[in-house]
Amino acid sequence: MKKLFALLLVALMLTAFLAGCAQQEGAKEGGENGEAVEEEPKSTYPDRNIIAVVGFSPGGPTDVIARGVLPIVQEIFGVGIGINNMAGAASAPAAEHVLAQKPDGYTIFFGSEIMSVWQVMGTTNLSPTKDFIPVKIVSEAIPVMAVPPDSPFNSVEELIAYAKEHPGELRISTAGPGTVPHVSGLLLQQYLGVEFTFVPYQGGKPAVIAVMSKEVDATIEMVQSMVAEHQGGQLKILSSFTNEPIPGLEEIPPVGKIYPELSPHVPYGPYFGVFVSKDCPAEVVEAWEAALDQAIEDQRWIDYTNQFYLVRVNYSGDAALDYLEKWTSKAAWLLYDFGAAENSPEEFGIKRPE
Amino acid sequence: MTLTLVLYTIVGAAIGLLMGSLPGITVTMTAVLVVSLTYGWPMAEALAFIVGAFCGGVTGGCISAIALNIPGTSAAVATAFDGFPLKERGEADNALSLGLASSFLGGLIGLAIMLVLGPVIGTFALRFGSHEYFLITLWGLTLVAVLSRGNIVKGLCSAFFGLFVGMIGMDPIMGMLRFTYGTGILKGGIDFVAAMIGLFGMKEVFKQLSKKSSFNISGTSYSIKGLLPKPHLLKRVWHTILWGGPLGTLIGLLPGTGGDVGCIVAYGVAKQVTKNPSRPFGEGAYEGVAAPEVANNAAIGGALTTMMTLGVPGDSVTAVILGSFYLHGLLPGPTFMLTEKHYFYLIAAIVLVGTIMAYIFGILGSNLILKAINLPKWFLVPFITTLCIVGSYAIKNNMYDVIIMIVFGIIGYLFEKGGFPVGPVVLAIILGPMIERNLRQALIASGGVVPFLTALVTKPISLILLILIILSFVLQSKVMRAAENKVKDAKAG
Repeated sequence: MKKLFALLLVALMLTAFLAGCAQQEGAKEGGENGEAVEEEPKSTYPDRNIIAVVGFSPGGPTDVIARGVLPIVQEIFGVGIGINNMAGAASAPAAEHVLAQKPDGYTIFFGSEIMSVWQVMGTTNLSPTKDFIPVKIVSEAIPVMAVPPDSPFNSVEELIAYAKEHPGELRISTAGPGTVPHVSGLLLQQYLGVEFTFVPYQGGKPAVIAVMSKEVDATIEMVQSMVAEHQGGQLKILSSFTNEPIPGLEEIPPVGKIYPELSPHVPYGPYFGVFVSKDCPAEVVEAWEAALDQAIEDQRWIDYTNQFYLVRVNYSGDAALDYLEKWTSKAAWLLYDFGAAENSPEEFGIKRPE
Repeated sequence: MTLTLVLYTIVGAAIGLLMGSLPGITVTMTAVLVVSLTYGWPMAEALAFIVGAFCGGVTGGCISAIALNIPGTSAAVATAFDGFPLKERGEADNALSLGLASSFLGGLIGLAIMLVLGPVIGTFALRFGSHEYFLITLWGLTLVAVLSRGNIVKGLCSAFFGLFVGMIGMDPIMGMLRFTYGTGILKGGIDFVAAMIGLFGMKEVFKQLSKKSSFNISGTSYSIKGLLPKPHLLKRVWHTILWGGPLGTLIGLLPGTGGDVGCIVAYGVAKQVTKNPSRPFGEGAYEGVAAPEVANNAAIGGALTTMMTLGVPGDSVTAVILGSFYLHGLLPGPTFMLTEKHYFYLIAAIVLVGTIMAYIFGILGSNLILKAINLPKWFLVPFITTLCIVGSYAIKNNMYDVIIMIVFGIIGYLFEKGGFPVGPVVLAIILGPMIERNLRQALIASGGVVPFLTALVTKPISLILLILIILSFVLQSKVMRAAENKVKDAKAG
């Protein structure tokens, strides 16, 4: 019996050890590379490992992007950055967890556009600009509209023309209420005077399956989750929610070119970036900004984003606040005007977009 | 497949088996942990480790389901229904030997289907839409009748409670909050894994604390020999294995459903089609152990096929594996099968090695675990409590799930005291949200109640399912009567 107890203990310890080693190795690697750059800044932050909280499960778009940029930051900082996935409830518990920690910059939030709709959708009363400091928005994804391969629509013009004559008849699958695909569809409704029936699915992939299996007439999802199917002939991408063609996928016409009335409102896509609690010291924000500035110039990050057709952006400070406010007001009011949001944006001081 | 890769697979399978057999640690959690270890590794090594752990984890789930009545993973929920009664009859080694052998055969059947039909069958999964999922999941609910153990009214009460719990949180269609009573803790809904750990694991702890005797059955001895495959048992269940394997693979192929739904459906089907079970279901039928175990391992092959050919996760574990593909810069999907076909065969080879190793480790390792139930209570109770807390925390790294787990432990304890079975609660928490989501999606997609009903009979697969379901009800009543008559005859004779 003692033997067994010892065995179980050893097994548990081994698991803990393995998990621990992964972190330490990362930290060590970072240390070696970090020493070379360390000479200029004399700040003490960071002097121990940092936890980055991601509000989605491993392998989701936000997680994949966090794991693309944070390892590079880890090298620059010379301390380990552990990624903690706290999935569920539209990331709200993850954000609440970050805000509940000491605002010393050792627990940061890798956030995404879902933060912009928390208040109007009634998820949680937190604002990306008032409760957090957006350190830097590093990337955007591009939503596209797709139809099944044998769909009668071969272009977005045909689809919109049909929708104009048959309001509410075309069914569009989305990743869920209040998500970017849903808001993108609402943009079409608002500015092109059409009406769709939105069928919400449990995330982006199920929404794509729904169009491949012809359960719905069309879907709106991020380009990286459909590009393989598009090239394999399992669905047709009609248009991207941008003004310019996507580099590498020039054959997909941008919706802003086809409908000039939409061009002021696109590109419209989810954002991803690093957020810290609003009570964090300025020293922390500066350290992160500097490190991220360096990381997004790194060739590995450039290759990584190209592979997923992600747009690299760099908004920090006032530019980030301005960007987030515009984004939030656009999404919040569209959702509210079409009856999808629970709360009025006015309650939270979100101004209606001009 | 180099020797190093085989070694990685073996280590993965061993870790998976251990994690899977620990109550509270699910295969998905194991996969998350293993994937996070392998981010920096080359793709082939990482795959060997992850897929090996997948095979081991699913196999391991049956060990604690049979030994402790606590499913080690959600894919082993149904194994406990008949596995634990068998153990209580003193047939723990028979049950485990059968469970492990079924897992092994299931893994091989899933692999064979994956290799032969994989590239072709992938698109078949796309024919399953909301209508079909609605029917499958709704049909799963009929299992409440089996799990009620005689008292159907109490069983239905449990099931309704489970359905209610499944509605807590954000509704799947409009995103409105329901039954959260203004608290943050319920906003995310009740995670069924947390509820399952509470209802099976924590409940057992409370039960043990309230009574003097311990878990162990004294005088039962276990040996490795007892866990080796037993031809006379396998002979009894060979037909269950023959249809359970393909059924499990099919459910694994469907996007979003894996071993957990696979084992429930296989158990249900076993109950319906087995005319003369070795014992009534729920009281230690061999078929009731073989069916879920063969199906949950067969689902591995199906889920991996869907992941590689469609780029869509077949279940929650392959969703994690898909994430690691992305991180290594590979985009699985229709074109993946043309450009990176070697990965398909590599994964098939890993599944083969992983399944074999999981079986061998299962025989060697579960022997130790069976011995462990003979440990004194002062050790076992804190140990299981620790595992339950760690397991529920690890779901989302969130303290909320621990609180929910403990609350469900208390609920489970009270339910059992009142004679209400907890099986239907878990079943309803798993199936309820799926039924609701698919029904509402189907209603919106078909545009109203009448088109929805006509679609049920005009869509070919949905029609077949509907006929099967009605048939199962009709057959069931006859079989039941025949069985009853037989019991009466036996008693009279």
